[in-house]
Amino acid sequence: MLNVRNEWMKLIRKRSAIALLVISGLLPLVAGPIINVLQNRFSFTAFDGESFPLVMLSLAVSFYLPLLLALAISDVFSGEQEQKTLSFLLVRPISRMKIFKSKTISTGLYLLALLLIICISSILSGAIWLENFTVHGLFLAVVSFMLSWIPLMALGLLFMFLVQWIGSGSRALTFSIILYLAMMVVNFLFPGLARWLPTYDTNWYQRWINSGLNTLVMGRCLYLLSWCAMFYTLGYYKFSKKEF
Amino acid sequence: MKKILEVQNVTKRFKNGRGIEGINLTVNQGEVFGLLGPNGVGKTTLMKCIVALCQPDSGSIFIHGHNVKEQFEQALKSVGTLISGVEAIDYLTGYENLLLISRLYPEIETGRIEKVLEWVGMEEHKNEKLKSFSTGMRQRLYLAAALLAKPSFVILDEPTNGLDIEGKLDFQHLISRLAKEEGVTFILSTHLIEEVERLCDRVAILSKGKIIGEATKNELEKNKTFESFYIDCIKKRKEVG
Repeated sequence: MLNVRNEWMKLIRKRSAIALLVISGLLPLVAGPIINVLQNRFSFTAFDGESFPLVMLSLAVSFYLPLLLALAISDVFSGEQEQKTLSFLLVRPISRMKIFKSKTISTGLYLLALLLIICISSILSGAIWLENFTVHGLFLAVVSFMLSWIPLMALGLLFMFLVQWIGSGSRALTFSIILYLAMMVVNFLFPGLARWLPTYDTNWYQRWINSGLNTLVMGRCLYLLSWCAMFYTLGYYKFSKKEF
Repeated sequence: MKKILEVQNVTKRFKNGRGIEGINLTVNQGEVFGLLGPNGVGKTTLMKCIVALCQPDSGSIFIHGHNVKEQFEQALKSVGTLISGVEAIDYLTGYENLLLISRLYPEIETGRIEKVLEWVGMEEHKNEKLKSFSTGMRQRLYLAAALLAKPSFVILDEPTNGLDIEGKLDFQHLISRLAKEEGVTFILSTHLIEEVERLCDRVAILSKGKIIGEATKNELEKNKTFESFYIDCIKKRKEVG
């Protein structure tokens, strides 16, 4: 656990990481008043205080967060390899297993921080600018945001495994984005095949909200955990064999 | 004398045919061991194999009796490293970069970072970001990083690259002091004969990935200079190969 603080420091001290955290928090704060003005002007109610955080979450998990996750992972592995900074800690008395684990944990924490910031700002924005903000809505939003961490992390672990073959941060990011877009296309065109991919579950919080913890949700939960375990192991294996 | 580093028949070949072949060497406690050779003969490859940045195709490496491949953490526990081409984090300050390392050594006492920064003459620049550092300043910081954890054995790969004359002299004084006063063992790779001559108790000559000669300072002082020893080794190598 000693190195988690190091990896977190390296990740969070980048200007881009701070900027993206701030932008993530600002987006719902800006979207709230715009929606309020539009709804008042054209006299319609598409979003209320209860549904607004879930709408923001849906947008975030489908478009925004996978890209930020890909960016963080590309930086943490391929970017550091390209800048030759990865070896700075590899030549100290810490095993590669501990380094890989601490990089995974810090990426997971960064994702959690992004989800929390979007969650808080969208709840605040919904409560201030939109009608019908309820405690039930608040509870639903918090649970949904937290649940979204698991499928996104499963996607992140797939990126983490694949970028081990790429020695450049920008190429790793491009590859991850193309891969994500390809998975989204598969989701759309081949729903049967899509069930094998983590992108199938990025908005699985809706299943939890609609039907609670049933057999199907439990099955998907187990599938995602197995996916995480498999790609974490494969990612570590590849990382441990890398030469610098 | 206690063996600190043992390299046993290590071979590492890259796809382009370069690398090292059948390297055997031992570094004893309290020694300053020099690895001398021109650029591109495999000095950094050997250093990288010693700290497991590269995996040898064959052979074994032991530090303090621990196999580097199997007992990495124990082997590197009291080892300081400065490997050519390994970079610190650009957007952090010099102090923060050392802080990253110090967190991996819970036994380091408060104030140690300031102390090593003072040794290498970088205390005034500790709060500046690395991206504003010159090559020489970076090299001084990397030396501070290597000495941070009070190592009993220090691996230095081309440590004076980018240093000015003053920096080189400061470095040589520091290494001599640590070796004599604190009994720190060093392995030092360089292409500069004068550096080996000033600092090393024993030297091995590396050419085309192989060790082609080895001698102690005492042996050389009786017969010839480091320079003539080096030239003889190269000549013999040419005659053989």
